[in-house]
Amino acid sequence: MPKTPEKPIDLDGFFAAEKQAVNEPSTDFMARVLRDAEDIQDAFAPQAPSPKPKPIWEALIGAIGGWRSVAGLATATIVGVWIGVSPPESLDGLASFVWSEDAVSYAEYLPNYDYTLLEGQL
Amino acid sequence: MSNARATLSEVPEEELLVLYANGDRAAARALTELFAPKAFAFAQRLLSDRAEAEDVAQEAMLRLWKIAPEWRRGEAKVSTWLYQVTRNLCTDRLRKRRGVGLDEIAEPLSDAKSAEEVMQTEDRAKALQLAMETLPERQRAAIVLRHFEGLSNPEIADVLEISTEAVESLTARGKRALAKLLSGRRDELGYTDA
Repeated sequence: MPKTPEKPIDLDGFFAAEKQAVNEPSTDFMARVLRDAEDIQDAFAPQAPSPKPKPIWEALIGAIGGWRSVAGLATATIVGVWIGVSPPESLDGLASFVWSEDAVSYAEYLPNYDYTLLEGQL
Repeated sequence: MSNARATLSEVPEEELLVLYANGDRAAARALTELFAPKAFAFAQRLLSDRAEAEDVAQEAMLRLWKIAPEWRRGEAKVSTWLYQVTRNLCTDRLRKRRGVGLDEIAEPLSDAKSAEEVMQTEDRAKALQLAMETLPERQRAAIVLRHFEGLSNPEIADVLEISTEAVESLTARGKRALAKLLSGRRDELGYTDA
């Protein structure tokens, strides 16, 4: 009687069995890998950029007290120019007084510069 | 750890690596969860030694972390690169273990006896592992990548740096060898359909 040909072996069955048998990586191993990742990441993390020198205009603004002072100065300048160009009526009397001889006579009552110097007040 | 993977699961491998290089901790976790088990499983199947496989996989991942800032996008898949590195590290270990060049190792069929002996007492998985240990390293790597890691033949060709045709030849020869090794004692395994 002729021999029955042997069925080919089911390799896929062996592969499936092996897949189930292979161990999962341990939590310790995963923790070690993650620790390495974070250590290396810390080593090449971009360095904080060194502070740039401030531009000169920024230093000037800082010297006079910041942007609020600049705004105040600008307002005062505009108001001054406006008053100069178109003075309000209420200032007419004051202006004529300042330039009158009376104003000079009032100034006589003020201590002069030399006297103040002698008194050591400056 | 699964949270990092869930939130970044849609992010491509390369993008994850860029995020990692930019200091993103969640990307570090996601990459670890994604690639460390792959490297470990691949190494374990090539080395048949859990402790050694963990060492190799950790070293492969360490190299991935170091290269991340210089990664050239579009040149290679991260997973392909990792399999290459893992395989090279395994090859070094196997060379040291055996003391001979892998390509010099004889074709496996003469070693069938050791696998057959173990089949008497071990299950299919162990029998397959032992049979695979007798395969030349390249055949073994090709079979692991194809049947356990699920890579396509072109992807395996990239990992092993050979042609797709060579991959087909390697896997075919490897499977023939495994079938021959395992079929000799199918009755002893208790699988009448095997």
